[in-house]
Amino acid sequence: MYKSLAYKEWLKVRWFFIGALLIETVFLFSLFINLRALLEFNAARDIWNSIVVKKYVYFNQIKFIPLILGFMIAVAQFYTEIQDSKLKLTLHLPLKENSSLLFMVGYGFILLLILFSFLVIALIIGSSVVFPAEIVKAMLLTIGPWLLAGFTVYFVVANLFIEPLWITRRAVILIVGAEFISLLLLSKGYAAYKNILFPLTIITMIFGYIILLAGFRFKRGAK
Amino acid sequence: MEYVVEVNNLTHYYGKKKVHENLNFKIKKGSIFGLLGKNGTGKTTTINILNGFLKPKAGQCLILGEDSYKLSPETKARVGFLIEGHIQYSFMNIKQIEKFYAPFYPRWKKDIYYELMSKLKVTENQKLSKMSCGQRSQVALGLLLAQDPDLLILDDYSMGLDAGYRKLFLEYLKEYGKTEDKTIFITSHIIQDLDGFLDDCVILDYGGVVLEMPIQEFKQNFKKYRFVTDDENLVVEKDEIIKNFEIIKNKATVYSFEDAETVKKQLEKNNVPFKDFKYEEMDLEDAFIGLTGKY
Repeated sequence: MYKSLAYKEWLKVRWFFIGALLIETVFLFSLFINLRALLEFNAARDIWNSIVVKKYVYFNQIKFIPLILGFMIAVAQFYTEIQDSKLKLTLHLPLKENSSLLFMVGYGFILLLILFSFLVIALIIGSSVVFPAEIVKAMLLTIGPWLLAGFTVYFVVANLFIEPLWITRRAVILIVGAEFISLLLLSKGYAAYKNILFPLTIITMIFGYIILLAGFRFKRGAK
Repeated sequence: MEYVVEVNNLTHYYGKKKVHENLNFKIKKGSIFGLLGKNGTGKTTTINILNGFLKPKAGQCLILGEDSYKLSPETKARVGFLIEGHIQYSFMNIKQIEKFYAPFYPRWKKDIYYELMSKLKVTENQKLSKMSCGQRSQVALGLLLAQDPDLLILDDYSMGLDAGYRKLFLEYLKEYGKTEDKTIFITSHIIQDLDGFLDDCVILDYGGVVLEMPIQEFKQNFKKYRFVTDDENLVVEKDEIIKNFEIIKNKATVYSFEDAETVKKQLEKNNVPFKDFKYEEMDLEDAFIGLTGKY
């Protein structure tokens, strides 16, 4: 049965997923071309100086990519589901309602994990060729919060679609979510959040959990 | 008597607006039951409560013996649900949607679905979103029949369908209901289609239930009488005998479950001037409008 649910989710998101991969590829390609130009036209000492001393983030152009991907996957999965209350069809399937909803959210989460893994692996490989491990590690700690922002956008947008209480709950989720996302994208240097990445991850996962509460209110017929 | 659906003292409000207060009805196993009423009388609310998509303020609904708000997966597999407007996953085509639903239902009957689909002029790869409303209704019906549920709950199957598709829909349902001993719970705002289809019905009005009885009994016993009166501004209050009253110029109509003599006596008792009193035949739709009024 869950295989069937996965099939439904795939039918909804497949073109968005392929589109997301294309977006990532285009941005990575552009980033590596810029990096190559940086290396071609600057002395190694200057590049080292700008990254280590001036905190120049050479991969800054991908900062909003996780955000865009999270939004795309959430829209693909949940906009379709709330159109004409199709979510009722899903919740009427012979499964426990929470399990169906959790599966859908988990499916989107895993797709994002795949997309983000592609991004991170490509960045690690591309950066390792020219930079020492310390810089690659700093890069990973820097993009960590950006990836969390991508997951948060996914959870918040999914929540906004499912939540039946327009004014009160949606407004709260939107405001709290936007504040948290802007916090995750606030830092300009390297690895600024390395000591609080774990609590930030926990908060991100809480946004995932509250989708179940929205689902509960949807089922209860809250208006 | 085995009941598939039991609605006991169901009460629901949207804010301060009352939708139902102490609504009661039961649906016998193997029967075709209609919940009839004008728009806004709470049909879809009732369906939502029965399917567990709305928690009532008070009262209880039992579906196949389980509280409708907490249906187990096993019971959900025995209930087929048609959402108003034949809503289905419109991003799928007829092949994909069958592949999706089949593993959920142990009694899935693929052949029934494809037999119905073969009659539609659609290709296997055509998405539901690209089909006409009538074609989508047939896909939704095919999926319901393939599921082989013990109870079918159909919320306004007629929405958006032309006469041909409505007839086709009901013919398939009737055949299915009778040969497989299934229970069908249906709502519709096109009453004339349900003439000869329903076994029992509940008629809702804005104030609550106005009637609950077998449909044949309703059709046989609910009568329409016309008369001519001199008073064009005549008003006859509803009571135990006079269930409804209408007047256009000097031609008045009364509806009642009583025979002509009893109605005449009641009019005389109320000092209503009348002449040319006569009984007139009604179909189900006329009877429905007669009972609930035109407004």
